[in-house]
Amino acid sequence: MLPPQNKTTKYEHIMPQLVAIEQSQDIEGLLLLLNTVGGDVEAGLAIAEMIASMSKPSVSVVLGGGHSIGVPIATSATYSFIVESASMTIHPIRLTGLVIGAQSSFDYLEKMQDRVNNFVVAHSKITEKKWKELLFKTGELSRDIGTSVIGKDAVRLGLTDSLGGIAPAMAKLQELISAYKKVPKGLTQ
Amino acid sequence: MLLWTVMPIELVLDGTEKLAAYEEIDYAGLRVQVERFGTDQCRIVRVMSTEPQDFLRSEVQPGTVLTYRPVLTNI
Repeated sequence: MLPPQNKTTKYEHIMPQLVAIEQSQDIEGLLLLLNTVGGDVEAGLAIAEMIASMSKPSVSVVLGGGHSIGVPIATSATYSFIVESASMTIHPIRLTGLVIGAQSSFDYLEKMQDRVNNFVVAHSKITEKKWKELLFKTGELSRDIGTSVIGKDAVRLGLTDSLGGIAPAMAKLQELISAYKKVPKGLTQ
Repeated sequence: MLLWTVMPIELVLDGTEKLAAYEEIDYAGLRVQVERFGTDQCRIVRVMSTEPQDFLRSEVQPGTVLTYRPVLTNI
């Protein structure tokens, strides 16, 4: 979710699509294929919250990269997969443009970071302690602090649920859809 | 805007200065924002609709290239 000029499909197109998917009588589930370098924090969190709050089951697959704000999006699905070669970069939020060096600027940035932290901790199996450890690790990324987590490690740390590609993701989605269908909707007379 | 990305900042902000001239046209029963390029083509930038289902329509996905065709009138 980079700024609009870097993309053809923008968040203002994705968000109504998610509403349409939730409303649709024909769509039973959602498969998310993620390959992102990250970007807009607000847009990313908004999309992640929308996916997390949908009633229909969703499965995410991280292919290539699910960096930065891609991490909360990956964890927002009902069940998440990562392929063995994919990587996820976890690093603190950066601010571009004019920054006034006042205490409130740092507090604001910290609050923003906490929103991301809370979302990831709430929607994945990673502990807050472990997440913060990855976030503030030094010596791993050349131009930043943080960690690059690859395939298996993402599963071991609890960031994603399983290791696998399209076939297991489709199978899991089918399983979630049939489980979702069994749950009675509305009032039983 | 707050950005959380591994991309170099020069790449992220590339093209921000140049604001493309967009125009709105009626297409497939919808109002769409397009960016003209070449002499007879345009690319869909945005769907202007309040109906969520319109955003799932494959023929108006952002990035779709449309071609203007000449039409003879007054014959």
